[in-house]
Amino acid sequence: MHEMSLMSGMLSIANDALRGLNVKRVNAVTVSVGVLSNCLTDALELAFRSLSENTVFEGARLILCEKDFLAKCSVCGKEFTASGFPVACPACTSARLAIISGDEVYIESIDYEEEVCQKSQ
Amino acid sequence: MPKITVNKDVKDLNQQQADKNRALFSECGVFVINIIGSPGAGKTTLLENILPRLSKKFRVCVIEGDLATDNDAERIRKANIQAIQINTNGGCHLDAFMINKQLNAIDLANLDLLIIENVGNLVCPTGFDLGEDMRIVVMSIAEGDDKPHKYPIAVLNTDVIAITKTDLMPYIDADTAKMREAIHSIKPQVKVFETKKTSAGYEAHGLISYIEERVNAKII
Repeated sequence: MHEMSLMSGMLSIANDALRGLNVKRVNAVTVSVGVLSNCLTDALELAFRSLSENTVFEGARLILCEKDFLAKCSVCGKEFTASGFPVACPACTSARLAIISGDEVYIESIDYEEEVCQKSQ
Repeated sequence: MPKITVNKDVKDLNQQQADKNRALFSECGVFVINIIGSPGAGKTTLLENILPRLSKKFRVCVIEGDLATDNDAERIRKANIQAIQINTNGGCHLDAFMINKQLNAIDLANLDLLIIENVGNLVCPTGFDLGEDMRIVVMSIAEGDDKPHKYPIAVLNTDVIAITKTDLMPYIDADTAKMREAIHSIKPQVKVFETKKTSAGYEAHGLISYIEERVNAKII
């Protein structure tokens, strides 16, 4: 449901990153999406397509990389990749944990084509 | 082909504003609660019933988040408590900027407790810190005792869960003991309180006492 607002935030970050560069068009935007971010990749795609119309991002590929839920056990300190819920520490079985990563939604990188400068004669 | 590395989280902007909100609330000695739950879980009813007791001890203000209408703010104002309505016009959650925008209308220096009722939704609001000191997720027992398993991220990101409408248990196939078990299998340290309607009124003593304790610990 909130993919539209997240995507609009991402495009504003992407615009800031491209500011001052000589961008003709963007070919690909690589985005990391944590499994805890409550984001549907299909909805992100749709948001990207509709929000990128008539911008340098129009027609660019959106590359979505799913990121695992990395947890740290609050009892024994073991760090592990959690899959599904409920989560239990593989070392001591405790469910008390801290999230290390997996709730992120961030732009990793942008591939773009440069505008070819006309050299003055 | 040129490539630029960005590595910036889209939630960073919200987080920065939430941190600013939190610093401001601390400076003014205001305790802030963010209430999250599905539509119909009983968030506003919970508020209506805990506010009379809380407002005897603390100076309270409420921010109501809804897609449309100011019905909920009106309900709170009936108890003579300042209530500000935010209409998100379709937006599924409140963010730290929306809260900050309302703070001009609130006399923070003369306030102890700010309660924010988020938009009815158990998914999107869980990812947006508003600058609160405490989060309460409201789940009614009528939603099913497996609700925590269906919405584990809401459980993972909260300190307190209020199980509401437990007086309905005899009529439905759901059990608060199972719901508690489901909550604690995901996050053992969550404090769980139950609320219900009885012939004597609305019962939420445990939750109210816990809120009083937490508010006092911050403002005194």
